[in-house]
Amino acid sequence: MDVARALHRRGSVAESVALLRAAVCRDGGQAATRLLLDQALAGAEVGAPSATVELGYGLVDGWIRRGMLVEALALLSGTSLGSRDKGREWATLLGELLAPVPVDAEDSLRQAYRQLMTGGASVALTLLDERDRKSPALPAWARRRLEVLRWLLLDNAEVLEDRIDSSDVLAPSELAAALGALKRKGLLVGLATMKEFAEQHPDHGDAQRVLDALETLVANLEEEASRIGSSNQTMPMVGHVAAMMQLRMGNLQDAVPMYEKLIRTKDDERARVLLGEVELLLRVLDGQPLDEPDELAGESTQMRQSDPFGDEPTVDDYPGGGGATMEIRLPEWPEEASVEESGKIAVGELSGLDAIEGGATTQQPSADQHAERLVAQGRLEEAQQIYLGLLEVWPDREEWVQRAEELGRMCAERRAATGGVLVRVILPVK
Amino acid sequence: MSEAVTRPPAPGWTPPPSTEADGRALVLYVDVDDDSFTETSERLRRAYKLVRAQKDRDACEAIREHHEDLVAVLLDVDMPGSILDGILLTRILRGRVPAMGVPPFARNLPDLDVPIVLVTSRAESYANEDMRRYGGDRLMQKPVEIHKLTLALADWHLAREV
Repeated sequence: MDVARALHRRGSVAESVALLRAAVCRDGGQAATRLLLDQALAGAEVGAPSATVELGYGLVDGWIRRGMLVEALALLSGTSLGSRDKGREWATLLGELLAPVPVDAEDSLRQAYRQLMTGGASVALTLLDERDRKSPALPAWARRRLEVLRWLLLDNAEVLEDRIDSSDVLAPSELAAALGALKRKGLLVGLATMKEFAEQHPDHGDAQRVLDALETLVANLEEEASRIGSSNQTMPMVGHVAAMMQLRMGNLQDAVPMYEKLIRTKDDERARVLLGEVELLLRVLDGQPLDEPDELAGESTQMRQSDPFGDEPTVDDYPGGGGATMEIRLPEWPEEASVEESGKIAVGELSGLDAIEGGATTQQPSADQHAERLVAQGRLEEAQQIYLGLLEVWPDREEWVQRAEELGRMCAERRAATGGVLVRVILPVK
Repeated sequence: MSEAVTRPPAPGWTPPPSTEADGRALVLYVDVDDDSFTETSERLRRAYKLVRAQKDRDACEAIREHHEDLVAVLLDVDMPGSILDGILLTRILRGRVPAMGVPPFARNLPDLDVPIVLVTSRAESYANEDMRRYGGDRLMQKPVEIHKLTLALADWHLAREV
């Protein structure tokens, strides 16, 4: 409201009205905003901003990341920000992205447009992403909007994550900081980053050992991918396949119980080797010594072998595993990749590593991944809003219902812990 | 957050050449000035496909032909060389002129449920409020910028949601 007042005071009345209207459409419950909008529309004074408002790129950028695209465009248009430097570029891209869709556009594209206009940018991204995987191909203008939206929402989020996670203050060691790319961007990027680190630090004793561990895991990834690519069967997301998917995304902690179960139930030697490498990487990330002490290693192994009914999580406990098993359906529909409503991933003419790299849920980050990034940045309320927005369109997605409820509980706990004062806490990426 | 906001390079794009079916939203642009049309067209082409009319008669014909596909109409305020200026044509399109006051070529135009933006190179000479009183939705300086037009159209759409 202060920004709207500031715009009004500068003479940018139309932009001020557009900003207020967008805010009301995004959240109709804001009675004060609606009142201010009515005043502005009636030509009345809207008052002075209650505080010194800094109308800068930071504010625009923050709004874009939160999906407040019309508000961001109003701010750019109502000030000189939109006529110089990157502000001009952003204004042009937003002008392109928020332009009306052609009158004969199909329903899914109309729905995406409506979401864009009313604060549901992440939902719009998912709608466009899902539509992009179907045929006929997206028209050129819609494909372009998908690219622009992805850039506005996600590429910037990655930059923000880099700022947070690669901080030397947070990482316990230089090696751990370099390995942080693995957790943020997945195994393959982690390997590339570590190779670079090893080249730059040839005398670093542990770097080569970490590099070896990563190469072992990537070799396993390629082996599994090749096996999937050559099979015509539906592959359940369990065992090595499930663990591999977690590793590919950099979720080391989630792969551990999967390998442990393979060792416990099948005495799987390959799982034992891979688990050893994963635990080594986890120790590096925690800043612990590289090699597990012998007595602890023995104890750990013994515990695993002698406690087959232990209460550690199994693959069935993992979200997306067990009852809600996610399946990779192999080249049954060769012409395209798509995601079905059931949550199954359909992979078309993909083979080898491409079968994983090009997998429908992992090729491009979408709204739920965007939400999880916000969670990692401590922005729980915004993440919950994204899930709630997604549920408006896909009310049957049980995993999103659960995640939205979980985030609601986390928000409430955080409020309670801080006496009602909102603070931002950096949480591990789920 | 400070001003030092960093982003990777934005995705570049050259819009495809205009075709009958390239799918961009269709806008009617009525202006006799070639330079103004060229410059506006260049600025809007990433998201809009412009249909041009030079004078009032052409504008009415274009509206009859394209009214179902248009997402907006941009009218020059002055429209030199025409019987109707932008303001009078706006009033006619909004049904605010009695039939007897409408020239024959502008009678029985189809209903246009899209924003009408009046454009001028002398925006400081007019008031937005006056334009609204005549039935226009916004007054804009020529050449029209894509973000200004899009914001005006977005506001028009959102006004129907509130």
